[in-house]
Amino acid sequence: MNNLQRNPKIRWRREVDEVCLYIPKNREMKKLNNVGASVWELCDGSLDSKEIIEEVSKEFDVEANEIKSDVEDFINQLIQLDLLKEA
Amino acid sequence: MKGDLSGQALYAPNTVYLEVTNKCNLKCKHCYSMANEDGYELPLNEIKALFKRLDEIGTFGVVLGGGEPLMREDIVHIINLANKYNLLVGLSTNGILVNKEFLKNTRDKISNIQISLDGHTDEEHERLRNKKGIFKDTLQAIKLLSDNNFHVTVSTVITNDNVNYIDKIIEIALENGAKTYRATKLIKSGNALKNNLDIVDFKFISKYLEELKEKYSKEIDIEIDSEFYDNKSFCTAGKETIAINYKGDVYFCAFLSNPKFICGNIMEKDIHNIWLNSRKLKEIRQLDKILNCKECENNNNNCFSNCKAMLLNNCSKLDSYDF
Ligand SMILES: C[S@@+](CC[C@H](N)C(=O)[O-])C[C@H]1O[C@@H](n2cnc3c(N)ncnc32)[C@H](O)[C@@H]1O
Ligand code: SF4
Repeated sequence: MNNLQRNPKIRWRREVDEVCLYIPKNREMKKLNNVGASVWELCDGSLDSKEIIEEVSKEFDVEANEIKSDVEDFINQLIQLDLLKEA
Repeated sequence: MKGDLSGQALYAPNTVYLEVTNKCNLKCKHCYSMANEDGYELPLNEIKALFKRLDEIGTFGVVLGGGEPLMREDIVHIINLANKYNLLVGLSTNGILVNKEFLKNTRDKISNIQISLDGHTDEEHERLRNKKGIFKDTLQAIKLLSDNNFHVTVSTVITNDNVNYIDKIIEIALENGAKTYRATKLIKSGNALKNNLDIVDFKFISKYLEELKEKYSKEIDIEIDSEFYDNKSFCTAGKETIAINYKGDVYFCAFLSNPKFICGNIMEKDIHNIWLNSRKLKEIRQLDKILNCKECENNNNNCFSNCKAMLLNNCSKLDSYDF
């Protein structure tokens, strides 16, 4: 499985409990909270989606298989918006 | 980079509205910025320092307006500087001074150009804009920019005169290649306040605009100003955005000009410091708590309590409040 990496051209900023970013493709600003913000920050190119799911499950204290499909869907959405790529 | 304003505002503004000048080639009847009252302009080095700082704190973009931003001879330079500091550039213009050279110099450097079109005929457009012969210049600018792949947003300030012709204005925007149409609510501020312009009933108009948005959904993106809705939480002024006027004074919203509401000046204080620490900003962010509009005996359409600038400009209950 490939590691996931944020598109370096995307402007984003960490806020207290969310991540703000600008999506050029949709010309809109977006806020990611909780799990979304955490996934985003984990996509630094050093982890693949399985490892990201494990990290998130530890951070939010939930079983990995409970969140697996949601996190995968979310990652796919980010890829489609050109916000992430598989390194 | 973490901020802590207890959920009141972001660590940094997402968008900064910057009036690069107060000069203008028009004197519109509704103009909130009361253009042409003052020839002073923020020096280029101050603008450069501001953009550099905004890049550092993580602001996404600036919207350059005025006055008429193209009245500034160094406007291309300003746009280049914003690009240099990784800021998305929006430009708000009446279009009259747009020409091929401007296009050549700013291609790929502006993410959105908003052009004002307030009527479907020269007579209607020029009535509010107070000058004959400019309708064709405006249409030309929309077409020229669109033909050259700029993202053009056509914006109309809705008045009792144009409210029945919005669909016709949208058609004109479409014909000339605009990608977005924006319905802007008239805010009683500046010349609009001085000339006592009437505000259209927003409950009726928001429904009508929704219908148009649906009707044209396949052809053009229609944005409806949040102020058309009766919901305070929609207003992002001071929470996600901030406005700086041509003198460097910081207001939570561009529609305010009363010096009473100045939150600081960027030539005297760091913009991030103002954003995080201005006492006035903190209070205005919580205006909903200071006022109890729902129970107020004056509450009617003219208050438009969903727009904080309208409130601050018009609410008599705030006259005695010491910001
Ligand atoms: C102040 S102008 C500056 C840019 C440029 N000179 C122009 O007219 O497009 C920015 C936008 O604000 C709109 N505007 C001016 N006065 C207004 C008011 N009182 N309420 C709502 N919008 C207003 C203008 O029509 C224009 O679309
Ligand atoms: S609305 Fe724009 S064009 Fe009209 S007077 Fe104001 S700044 Fe000038």
